[in-house]
Amino acid sequence: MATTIDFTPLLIERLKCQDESAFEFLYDQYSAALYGIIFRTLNHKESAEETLTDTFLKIWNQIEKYDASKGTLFTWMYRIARNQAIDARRSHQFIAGEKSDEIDHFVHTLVQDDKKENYIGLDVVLASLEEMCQRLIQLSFFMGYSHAEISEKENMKLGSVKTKIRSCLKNVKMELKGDFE
Amino acid sequence: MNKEEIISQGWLEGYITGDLSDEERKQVEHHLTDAVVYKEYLAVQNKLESVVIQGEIKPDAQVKPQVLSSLHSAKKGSFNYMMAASISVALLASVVAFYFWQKSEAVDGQLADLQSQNTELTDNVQRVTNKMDNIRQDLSVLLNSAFARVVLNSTDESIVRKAVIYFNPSEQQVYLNSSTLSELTEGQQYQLWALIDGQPVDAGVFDVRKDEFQLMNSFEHVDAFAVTIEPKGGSTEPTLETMQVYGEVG
Repeated sequence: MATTIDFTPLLIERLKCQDESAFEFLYDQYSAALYGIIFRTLNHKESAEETLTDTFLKIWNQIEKYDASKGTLFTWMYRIARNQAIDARRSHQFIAGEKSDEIDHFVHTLVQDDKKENYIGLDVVLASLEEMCQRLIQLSFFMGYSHAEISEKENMKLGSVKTKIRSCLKNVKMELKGDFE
Repeated sequence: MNKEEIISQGWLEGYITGDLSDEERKQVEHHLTDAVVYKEYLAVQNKLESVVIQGEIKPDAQVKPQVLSSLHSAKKGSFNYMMAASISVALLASVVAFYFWQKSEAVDGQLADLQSQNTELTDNVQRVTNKMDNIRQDLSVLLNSAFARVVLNSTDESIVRKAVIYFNPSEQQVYLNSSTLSELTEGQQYQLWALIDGQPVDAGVFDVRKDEFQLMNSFEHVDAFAVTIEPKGGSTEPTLETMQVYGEVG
């Protein structure tokens, strides 16, 4: 990823010139990461693919609005993908069943079913975290749930949700260092 | 919130996911100008990027060409939207133009109506003004003490008819009120005669006027006035048999 980061300003410049090869490069670099959170938010392949397309289209159309002083290109794209996925989940309402079961359903699918976890690919990243951290990181960063929604579903105070997410993410970094570097 | 709270209480993470209210977002952005906060913000972003990339799921290979072609269809689409929009605008403009054309036709018609009405009114005003001038003139004759009122009575006592002369010798003006005389047949006219020293002198032919005085030929001295019926255009000598009214100047 170091290479990508070095080229990011140039990449942004070429994207702002509507350079399609730059856009193709962007897709190759980031589609899997963005698709990861979109798919986990929607848990529906066709909708996720559609939302991924919408996300890149939005990135392409709104690259002029990207402001490097407010965050990295990845953060900007991540937020677009997350919001697109949340919007898709809200508008399509393709998830059958009661809303109150949504989070439990996802968490069950993602955390407790080992075989599905392999497919999802988060087990290695989150394995050494306490279970609460695994849930919070998945819900907040991968599944598009707001702090308020998590607070309600996990029966935690809103302030605690924020603080906990913060410390959990810090711990992930430590684990990554230990495992991958 | 102060900068320590922003870092330790998870505000930066919320800012990244877009999970803050507008007010909270502004506060965080305000603190991002602080070097320590900004450094931590970069660290959180990089951390999250690493985590999200670790959790990546490769989309099916056919999605990429779909995304790339959606760029083109987006471009093409927007072009078509532009075309559609400009066609719509053109159509709308035509409709609006036609509408206003119809309006202007109607307005033209109304304008012509108003103009003819205006002309009619002007004519009416002119007529009324003329009439009023006449009446004013007649009134000035009536009110002017210099005029002598000479009543010409019927020469046939069995018939009621009369004419009135207003005679101003000093100004040599003779006005005639003929309103009570009867209408004549085609080819006939009344003629006024002034008797001066026993001789009849032509004072002018006239038709009956119901509502205004007529100015007749004028003289310095008149003994009497008489009206006869003559062939149209008048005669040089009065036809005495047709004398209608007669009156001596007092």
